[in-house]
Amino acid sequence: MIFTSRMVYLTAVTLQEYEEAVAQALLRLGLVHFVDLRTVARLIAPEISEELSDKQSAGIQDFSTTARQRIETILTTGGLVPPPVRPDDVAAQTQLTPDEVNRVADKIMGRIEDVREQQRNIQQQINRLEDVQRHMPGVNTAAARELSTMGAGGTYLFVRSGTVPTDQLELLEQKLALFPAVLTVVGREEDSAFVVLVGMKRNQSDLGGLLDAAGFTAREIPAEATAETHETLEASLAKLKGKQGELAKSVVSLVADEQPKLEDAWRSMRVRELMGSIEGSFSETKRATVISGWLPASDRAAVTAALEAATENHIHLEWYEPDQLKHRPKVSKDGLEKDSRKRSRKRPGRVVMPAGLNAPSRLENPRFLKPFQILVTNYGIPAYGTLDPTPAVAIAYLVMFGLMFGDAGHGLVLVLAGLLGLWWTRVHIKPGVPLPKGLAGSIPTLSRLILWCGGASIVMGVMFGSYFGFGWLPPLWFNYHGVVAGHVEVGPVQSLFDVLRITVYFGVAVIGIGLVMNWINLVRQKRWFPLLFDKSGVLGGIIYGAGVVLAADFASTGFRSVPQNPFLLGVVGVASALLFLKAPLEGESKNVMWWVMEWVIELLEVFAGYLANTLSFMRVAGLGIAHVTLGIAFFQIAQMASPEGYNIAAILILILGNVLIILLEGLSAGIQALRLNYYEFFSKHFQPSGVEYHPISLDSTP
Amino acid sequence: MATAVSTYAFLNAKLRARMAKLLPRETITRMVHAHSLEEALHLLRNTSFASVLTAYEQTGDLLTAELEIQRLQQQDLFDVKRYAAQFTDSVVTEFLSILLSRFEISDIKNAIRLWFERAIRGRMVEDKLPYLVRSSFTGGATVESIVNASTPAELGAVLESTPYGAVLSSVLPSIKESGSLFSVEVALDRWYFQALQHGVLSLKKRDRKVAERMIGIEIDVVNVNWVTRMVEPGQEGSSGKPVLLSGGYMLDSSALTAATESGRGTQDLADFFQTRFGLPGLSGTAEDGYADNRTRSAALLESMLQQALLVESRRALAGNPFTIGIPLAYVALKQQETRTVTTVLNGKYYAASEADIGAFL
Repeated sequence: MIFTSRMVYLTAVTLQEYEEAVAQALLRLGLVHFVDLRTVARLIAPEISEELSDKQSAGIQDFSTTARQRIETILTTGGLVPPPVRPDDVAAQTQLTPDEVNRVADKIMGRIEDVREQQRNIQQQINRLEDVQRHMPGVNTAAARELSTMGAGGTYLFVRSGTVPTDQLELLEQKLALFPAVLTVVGREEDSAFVVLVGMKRNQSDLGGLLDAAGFTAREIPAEATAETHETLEASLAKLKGKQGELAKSVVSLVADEQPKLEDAWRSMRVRELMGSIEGSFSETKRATVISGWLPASDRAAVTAALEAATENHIHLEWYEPDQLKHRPKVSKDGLEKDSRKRSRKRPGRVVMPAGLNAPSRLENPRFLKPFQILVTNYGIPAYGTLDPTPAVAIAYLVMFGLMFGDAGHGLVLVLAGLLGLWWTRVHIKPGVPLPKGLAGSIPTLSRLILWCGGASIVMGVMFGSYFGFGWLPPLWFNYHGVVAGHVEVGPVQSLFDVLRITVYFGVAVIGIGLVMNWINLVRQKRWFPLLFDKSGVLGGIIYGAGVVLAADFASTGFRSVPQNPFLLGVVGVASALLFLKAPLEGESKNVMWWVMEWVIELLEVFAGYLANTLSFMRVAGLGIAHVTLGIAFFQIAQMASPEGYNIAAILILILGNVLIILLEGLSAGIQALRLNYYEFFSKHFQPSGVEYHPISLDSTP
Repeated sequence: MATAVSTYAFLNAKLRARMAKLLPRETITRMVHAHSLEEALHLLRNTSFASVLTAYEQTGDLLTAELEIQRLQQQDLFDVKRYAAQFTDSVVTEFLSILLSRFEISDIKNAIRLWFERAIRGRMVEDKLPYLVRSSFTGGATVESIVNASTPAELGAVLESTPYGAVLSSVLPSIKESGSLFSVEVALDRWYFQALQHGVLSLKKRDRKVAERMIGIEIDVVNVNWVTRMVEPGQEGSSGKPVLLSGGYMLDSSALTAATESGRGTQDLADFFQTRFGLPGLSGTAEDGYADNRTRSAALLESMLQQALLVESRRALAGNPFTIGIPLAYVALKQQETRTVTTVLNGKYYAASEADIGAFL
């Protein structure tokens, strides 16, 4: 949690016959961040790099990925999610091949397609009936008309009523199915049925022909025909739509019935895919397989045991510390490393790793700090071996947010919003399922962050005695509302300048912590030159520290007299003078004027930069004051609406006002706190050159 | 006085934000590689086309899904008109209204085609009618009134109240005799592009240049299409002038005239492109295979012009952010997206190979 996790680099050589077992063992452990050995070998062991060839596994991986995606599609059709992959599944991955899985998918998709074909046929029947319905205003509507008048003119409907021999009725119904038409039987006589046909005028010749062929005899349209036709139409449509719905559900059931088979297939392909990724990072010689990668030092024993078990001890392991893989060797004219024999006795050869092959950084933080870890990794991945800024960010962010948004009532609303988001996450996002894209995928993290911010607001609200803008309880620190309104005359904080001073001191503390973190990182990295001479180095820090004290002195005199502290002035002067040595020691130029120019610019950057960074924290006060001022404004509006007590209008104004404050100020405070962290804090120490630790494991997201 | 910034800032910012919702190329590629129509549709699940998948799952009907695609596109582009009315000036709003009237014209053409199939050719249209976008057209005509008209005269009466009534009234009486709707489509396209070119003239100089380029390419597409369908020279009265549209960007009037008068239409246009733009392999070779090469050349020409339009669109997006280029580019990209999705889905439905589907994209 304090530093990025300690890593070790592994190079292992084993016989090719153990390759699969090794890959399975490494997949089960899920601890190794694999690297391309050929690039490393050119540096570490050039004599063997040309012997190495890459393992050809891209094709296997692609087939497995495609097959897996097909199964996922089928599972999604059935409203199911892919299952988690268990360590036991790794050994079983050879049971199904991509071809077999594709055949399973083809079979199921074929069955789904059969259902879709039935749905299509029903949909066409629905379309035809809806065409008729479109032209028949509903019985209980204002535009309702009798069939007799609809058929007479003014619509696109063709209406006929009369008798059809009973033995011709079924055939007539079958032939009418191809047309948008409704046939209603309104009565039965001895050998015939009294029917009413409603169709489209554009088909009248075809419909007329069918009626004639069925032995139709025209009769007057009965009075009840309109209502009965509507009933028949609605009943037919309801029946068809019901069938349509059942067919749609049958697809879901079909998939559900095949769930065990589909899940086995998915797991199988997922394991193959992961094995393909792992084996793709291996290199081969004629008979051996070479494995390389980074893993946490704490897991070295477990990996060793697993590899030795998988290969029956037929494996050679070499371990390197990151330090051993950092420095450039001195190379003689004939390309050999100088003093190589001496080096090999005392220390192994050191090489400079290409950036992508540096030790990866793993941030290990407790679950409750995860939202802040994400804020850090959004900015960049800390370089390996440096301080993990997550705990510092968490504290700084929450303090800043609380200072800008200090109201217990508003904080409570944020807490409730955070809890609502977490509830939504529990309902809609199942464990092991990849997060949805877009805003929905951010809800889990945002909810936790909002929860924390709400808590910070509650704490600071209590400190300021602010509860939805009301002072229901006395403040534990100072009355922010009173200070802004100019009512406070006693206590440590009486005016806006006092508030500004608090935030400036806070900024000094944040910057100071950032500087100290930078020095610790540079000491660990043994980078002495930047430790001393960088803007955020020791000299810069001394100038800043002395400068802060001198500035405080200056401010304490009401900005009237220049600071009279010869010691501190001397410290600033000496540190500034020492900065002159940076340019000559860097050795970029031998021109003295260049050195002078570099020194002047460096001093300008140090003084101006630190001043700007420090004053930037005054925005915390600005936003806090704005938060209070907005509240005061809404109170005044409410009072204007209701001079004596609070009526409905005043209460509504206060509620809406608080909602607006929470939304506007909450968003501003969140963004500004992030900005101050990223720019003022991170710029002092953060080295975003890290590579994120990404082991291939069963939990890796597809 | 309104500046380019005040005219376009909000509208173009809105449209740029919407462009983020256009389907990425990767999704289209995965759709092309999908094993079946259902699997291709499922790739639209978490996109702006999610309702298309829902429509398919509820009905099993690809045509219903395509109708939903059309509806989504029209809704999206209706929003463009709404943003224009909200954020920009009346000249730009009017121009965009004309530009977007292409969808109404397309719907009217589809309705007239069904009417033609039914009333003139005597065929059943019941299976196609439900898949027309059911909108009311300017002037009160509806899909129902068009498709159910009994005669060309009745159809003319229905369309009289629309802005296109006048141009259609002169061509409708002859379609029964000609047995073809080509004159109707030409009349509607001509009306549209003339209205559009008139609208371009009202734009400011910088916008006019951008608009003329992009609309010019669309005119070229229409002209190539007409030449492919063997436009007879001298259809405009007795003047002998070609009926093809003027204002094209890549095809000039001499190339068009030559193509229409020679009788070899597309072949000549293909040769023109080969000579002017150095594009190999477009023209046909053997006289025996002319019909096939003509079709192939036409498809390639149209495809190439569509690509040219997309290049212009991307150029507009990368250029000055305060011109009419952004809205024009957005409309072009949105149409391209709709066309691509529809092509891929139809390709999957008819079990076309990935190469064949790719050839149409």
